[in-house]
Amino acid sequence: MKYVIKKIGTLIITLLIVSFLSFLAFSIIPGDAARSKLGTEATEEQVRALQKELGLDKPVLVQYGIWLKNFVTGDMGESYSYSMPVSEMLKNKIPITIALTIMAFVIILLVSVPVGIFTAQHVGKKLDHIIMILNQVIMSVPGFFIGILITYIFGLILRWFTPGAYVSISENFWGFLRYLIAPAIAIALPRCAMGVKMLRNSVISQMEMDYVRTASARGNGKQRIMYRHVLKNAIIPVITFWGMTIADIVANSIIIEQVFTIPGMGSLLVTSISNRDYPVVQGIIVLVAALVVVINFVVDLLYGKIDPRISLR
Amino acid sequence: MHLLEVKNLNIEFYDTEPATKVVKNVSFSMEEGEVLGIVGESGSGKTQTALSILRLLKDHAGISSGEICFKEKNIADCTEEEMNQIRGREISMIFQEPMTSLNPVLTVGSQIEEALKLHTKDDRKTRKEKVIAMMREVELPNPEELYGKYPHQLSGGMRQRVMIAAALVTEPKLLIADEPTTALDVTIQAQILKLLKKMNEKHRTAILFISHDLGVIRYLCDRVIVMNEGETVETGAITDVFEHPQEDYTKKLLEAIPNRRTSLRRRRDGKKE
Repeated sequence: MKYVIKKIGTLIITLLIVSFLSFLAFSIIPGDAARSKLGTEATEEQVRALQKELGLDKPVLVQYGIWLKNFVTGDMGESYSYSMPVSEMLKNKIPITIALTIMAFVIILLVSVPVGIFTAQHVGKKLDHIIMILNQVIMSVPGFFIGILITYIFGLILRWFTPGAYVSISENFWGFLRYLIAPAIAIALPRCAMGVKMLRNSVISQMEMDYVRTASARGNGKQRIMYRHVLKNAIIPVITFWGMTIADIVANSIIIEQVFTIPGMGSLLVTSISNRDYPVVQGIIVLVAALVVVINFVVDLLYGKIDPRISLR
Repeated sequence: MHLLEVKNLNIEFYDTEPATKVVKNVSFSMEEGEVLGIVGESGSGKTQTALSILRLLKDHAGISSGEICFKEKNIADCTEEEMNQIRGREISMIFQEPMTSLNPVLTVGSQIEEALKLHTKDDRKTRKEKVIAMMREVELPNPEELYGKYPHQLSGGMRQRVMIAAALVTEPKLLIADEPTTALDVTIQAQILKLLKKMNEKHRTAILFISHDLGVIRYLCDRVIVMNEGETVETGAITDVFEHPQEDYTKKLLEAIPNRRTSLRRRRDGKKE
């Protein structure tokens, strides 16, 4: 219980720091919301009037204070460019990002765990060599390029899906999921390769441990040694990697959404930054930061569950 | 019928060029209930000899010639499945490092229980009863409570007791003990040796006891094999070898025991011990 309270404290402090830093970043970089909203034709007076209206003429700290005060009461502000509440805008985007993240993560688990175990069991054999070379190649190709390849091969040549024909979640749920499969694969593949390598190395080093010899001396077969004795130990360092991966997927979905023209949080973030639409950017950043902290929390909990040597304090 | 017979055993490490011979023409046999010691410095090939009996040599090591027969069956002819029937049921093994020889993420109870799970048809309840009884026999305090604990919550001596319980719960004919007391401090060492002696007398479990410590060997064993650089130097009943060593190497080894030397000096100086 004390542990949970401590974690919530960490969450709040992290969000404060992250949101303040992003506020600060906007005050440093050139460009201004009022000017980008009104266009190049606008006169100085018009710009100044809009700045006053949006509260942009006040010092940064005051602006941040106002934003924070509203945020605490549940008001995330209104988008400058769309004149819409930020919470309303994000509400439509969150399911897309969540669906994409979960799909990519499930693919990573489904591929990297069995392949990682398989290669570790066949170290030095031909198939292991082939998989590890392939692995190295996939690992070094960026996700967006894999996205382009997938679009070309499966979209344009094999016609398994229509590139650009995004199906919204309210329209057709299964169609929506189907469209997300290709981008999810594009995000997942490089991380699958990393996951394979991590798990393989972890299993190999665990196989050298004394307790494995004890288990063999007790009459355990190869498979039982792997699944009953080694895997639980080998998975411990990989859990951290998986936790980081989820945060990484969210960041990567920004680029992949552009490749597959998905109107998700990523594309919203990109346009909001170029429009200097602070409230939207703030909203997204705080959301992503919260997600990362929560995932870390879950990873810690999992650690405590799997490794009895770690006690959560 | 010998319980275990090792004939002209040769073991080589293949990861060097040419291969390194680590065990050369070692032969010995063991009878039921007997305690045989193998003594030698580190690198003398005693651990490799022990591991080869259960066919647990690492991939880079192998038996180049010779025979190991357990109950007159050559273990080289066994399939891996048949070997797994022998391991943990007929022959058990305990190791030097009780710290790392137990799986850190499994409970103590489940690790003692595992051999029963693998080798008997006992139901869950019977297994647990046997485990608790065995834990009591190796003098682990509060077995019911300890059952659900993890290795890191136990002291080194307790961990070695857990290892012994896990090895003996199936009542094997032979226990191979590879330096089981080396990593423990002296008082705990004495307790573990006493326990092994008790188990040997009570269950007639033969013990192949490997150590570099002559004092320990003398306390526990009926017979001893002295090994040096992969070869058998001397073999015989424990009192013969200790009182009348035939070979120079054995004499030197006996000289190296600090207690013995001081007691000899004292005797020579005419003082009472």
